[in-house]
Amino acid sequence: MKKRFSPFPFALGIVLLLAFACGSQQQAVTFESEDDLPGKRVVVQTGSVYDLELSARTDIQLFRCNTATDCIASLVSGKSDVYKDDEVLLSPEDQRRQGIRWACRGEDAFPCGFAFRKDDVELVEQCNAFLADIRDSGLYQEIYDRWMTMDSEARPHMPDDILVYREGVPIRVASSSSTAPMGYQIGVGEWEGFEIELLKRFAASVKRPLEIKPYDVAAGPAALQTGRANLWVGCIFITEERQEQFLFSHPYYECHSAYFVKKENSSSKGGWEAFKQSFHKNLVEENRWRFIVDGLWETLILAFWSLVLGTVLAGVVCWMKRCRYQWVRKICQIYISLMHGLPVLVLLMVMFYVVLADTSLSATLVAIISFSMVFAAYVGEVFSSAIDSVGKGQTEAGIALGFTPLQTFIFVVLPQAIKRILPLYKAEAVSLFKNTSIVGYIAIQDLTRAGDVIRSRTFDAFFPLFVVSVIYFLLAFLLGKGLDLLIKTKRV
Amino acid sequence: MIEVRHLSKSFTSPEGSVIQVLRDVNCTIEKGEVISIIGPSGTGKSTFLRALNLMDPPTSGEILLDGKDILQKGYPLTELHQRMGMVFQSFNLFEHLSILDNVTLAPVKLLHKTRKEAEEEAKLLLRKVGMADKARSFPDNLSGGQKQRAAIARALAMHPEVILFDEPTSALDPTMVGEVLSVIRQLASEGLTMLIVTHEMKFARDVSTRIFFMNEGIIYEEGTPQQIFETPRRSATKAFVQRINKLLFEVDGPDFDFFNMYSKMSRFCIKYNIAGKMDAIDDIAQRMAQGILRDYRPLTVRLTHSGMTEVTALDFMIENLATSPFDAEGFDRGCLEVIRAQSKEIIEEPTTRGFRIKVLV
Repeated sequence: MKKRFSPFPFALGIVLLLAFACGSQQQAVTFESEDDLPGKRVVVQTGSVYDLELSARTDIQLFRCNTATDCIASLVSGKSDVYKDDEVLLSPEDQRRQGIRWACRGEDAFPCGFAFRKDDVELVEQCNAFLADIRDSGLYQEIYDRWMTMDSEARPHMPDDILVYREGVPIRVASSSSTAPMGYQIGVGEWEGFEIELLKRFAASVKRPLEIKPYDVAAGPAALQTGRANLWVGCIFITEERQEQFLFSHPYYECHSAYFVKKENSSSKGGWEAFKQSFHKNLVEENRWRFIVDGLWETLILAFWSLVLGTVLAGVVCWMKRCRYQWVRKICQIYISLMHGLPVLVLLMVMFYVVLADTSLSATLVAIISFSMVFAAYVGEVFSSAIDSVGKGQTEAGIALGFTPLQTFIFVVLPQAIKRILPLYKAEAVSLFKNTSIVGYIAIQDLTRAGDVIRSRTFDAFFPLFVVSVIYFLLAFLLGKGLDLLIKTKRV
Repeated sequence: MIEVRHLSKSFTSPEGSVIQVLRDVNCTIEKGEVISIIGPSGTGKSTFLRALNLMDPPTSGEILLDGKDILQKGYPLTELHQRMGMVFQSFNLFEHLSILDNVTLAPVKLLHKTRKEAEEEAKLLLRKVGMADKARSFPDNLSGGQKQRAAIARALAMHPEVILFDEPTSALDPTMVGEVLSVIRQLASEGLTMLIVTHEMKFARDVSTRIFFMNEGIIYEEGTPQQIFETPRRSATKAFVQRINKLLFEVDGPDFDFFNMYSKMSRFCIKYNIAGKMDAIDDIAQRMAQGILRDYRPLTVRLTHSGMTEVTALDFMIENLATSPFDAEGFDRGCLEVIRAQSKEIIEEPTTRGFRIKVLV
C-alpha cells in the first residue's frame, strides 16, 4: 500500500494559523498614566530594567518575553494590556503599522552605556575618550539627529565614509538591540542604527575590526563574562547592580521609558490582501528573504554535520557500551544518563558559555558538537540494542566459517543490525533537525532566528513564523521520506 | 589428524560454584573417520565438540591438529575454523542473505574467489543437498530441514577437512529429520571426516566408523558401532544403548480419559522421532479400546520404543481373561481389520494374570 502525501490537513493548518493571526480582536484598554497600572497585565523584555522594577509590584500581572517583537505580539494578540519599554524603541511609523500606540511616558529615565568586562579597563578608557571627542566635535549631535528623528518610512542610511579595519584583534560586540533606530540588521551580519554607528566609529578610532553578533538581553551578560564578547550593547542601562558586574562607558544616550497599548479598533485588512501585504513586507522589502535563505543554509549545515558527527559518535558510544572493560562501560553509562537528563538547550548553553567558552571554536561548531553528543547518546543505545537483537548464533556461524570477529561483525551482524536501526534512526534524525531551532540562544542565525530578525524589523508577529514553520515542516517531511526510502531499499 | 589429550572444561555458575563439564577427554581422530558422539544429556557432548574448534575454549589440555597444538597462543584461529567446519543445532543461517549468498559469502571474502566461481560451486553444493531450487529464497521462508541442508552446503563451501555436527536434527520437526540425516549419510559415504553429536541411535549405528559414548565428562567407552551397540563392555553404556522408552497407562474403568492417553502417545512419538508411526499407533489404540472395553475389564496399556533397534510396540494386558479378545464374539470385525492392517506383527499369549496382546508397529 502506498500512502500519498495529502495536502489537505496541511492547508487546514495554514487556514487556522491565519485565522488566529487575523482574528483575536479584543476590547480596548484604558491606560492614560502610570496610575492606571494596577490590575493590568504588563509585558516587558526578560532581564530588562523594567523587568526588575515591575517584578517587585504585586498589583499587576507581569509577563516576560525575550524580544521586543514578542512583547508586541503579546500586546497585539491580547495576551497583555500594556507594554513597557524604551521610548525610542518604536517609531510612530512602526507603532502605526503594528496597530499599537504610545500611551504615556514612564517616570524613569536611564543613562545607557556600553558594557565591558571588569578587567577591560583599557578599552573602556579608549571608549570614553572617543565619546568625549565626538561630543566636542559636534559629530555626536550629527549622529543623534540622523537616527533619532526617524519617524517616517524614509530610513536613514549608515554613512559610508567610516573607515573599516580588517586587520588586528576584533572588538567583539554582543548586540541585544534588534530594532530601529538603535541597532538592527538589514542583511545577515549587516548592521545599522544609532548605537551601531557609534561603535563603528569607535572601532575606526582604535583601528580595530568590529564583529557584531546578536544576543538576547538575557544572554548578553553571559557572552561578556565568558569572553565570547568584549562589549555589550543594546540600550543597556547603567544601574548599580550592573556596575558591580561590568564596567560601563560614559553614557551615550538617556533613555526614557514609555507605555504602549494596543490601538483601539485598529483596522486590519483581512484575507488575501493582508497575506499579500505581509508577504511583501516580510520577504520582498529590503530583500528580507535573504535572511530566510541564509538561515536555512545555516540550519542545513548544522543539521547535516550534527547528523554525520553524531552518527560517528554513536558508533563510539555503542562500542563503549559493549566494551569488555567495566570502567569504560561505566563512563559510557554516566555519559548516556547525563545526555538523557539534560535539556538540549541547557546543554548547548553550558557547552557554549562554560565548557568551550575559552576555546576559539565558533558557535556553529559548538552547536554541532552539542547536538552530536545528544544524538550519539540516544542513537548509540539504539545501535547497541540492535546488535544485541542479532542472535549470538549469527556471530558463531561467522566465526565457524573462518571469519575474524571484526569481519563477522561487518559482514554478518552489522547488515542485520542496520535494518533494525533505521526506523528509530529516522525518528532521531528528524528530531535532531528540529532541535537545531534553539541555536539562536548562542547567537547563531539559523532559520528560526532569521524569522526573529525579520520580525524585529517588521514587527509582524505571525508571517515570518508562518514561513519558518512551513519550511521546517517541509524539510522534516522530506528528511523522513528520504530515510523511509532508504529503509525500503534495505528491506528485501 | 586430531589428537585430544587431557581436555577439561569447567564453568563458574552464576551462584559461584564451579561446574566441571569435561573432566579428562582423550581421543584420536583419523582422516576419513565418521564419529558419532552419543550419551545421556548433560554429559558434555556438545561442550566437547565446541571445545574442539575453540568456539568455547577448554580450560586445560591439548588439541593437536596435524601435530600442532591449537591451544598455543598465536595459532591462527581463522585457519583453524576454515579447516574445521561446523553445523549448528539452530542452523544459524545468515538471515539477511539469500541461500545462495549464504553459501558464497565466505568463499568470496575469505578464499578470494570471484563471485561467478563461488556461485557456480555453490549451485553444485546446493544441488547435492537438494536445495538448488531454493537458491534465491531467504532463510525465513524455508522449513527447518531445508535450513539445515543449506547450512551444510554453506559449511562444505569452505572445503573443510573436518565437519563438526552439533546435534544437527535436534531442533527439527520429526518429519524433517530424515532429509537431513540422508544428506549427512551421503557425505559420510564420500569419505569426509565428521564428528556428529546425535541422539539418533540407528543413524549413529549405520553411518559411523566409530562411536564415542560420553558419560560424566569423559569418553566413557569407544568402539565400532557393533561393539558399542551389541557388546558394550561397561554397564552404563549398556544401560544407555539398550534403554527402552516406555509409556504406561492403567485403564481402571469406564471413566478413564482415553483422549488424554492418545495425545500422550502422540507426544511420545514426536519425542522419540517416530512421528511416522503416530497414525498407526493412534488407530490401533483406538480400535483396541473400542473392541476390548465392551465388558470393562481392567487393562494395562504400554507403549515402548527402543532407540537402538527402532522397535515400537503397543502392549495390552487384559486381566481375568483366558482367551484372546479377538476371538470373543463382541469384538468388532472392522476394528480387527484396521489393527491388522496397521501393525507389522501381532502376538497373542495368555499370562498368569490374564491375556496379553502385543502389537508391533
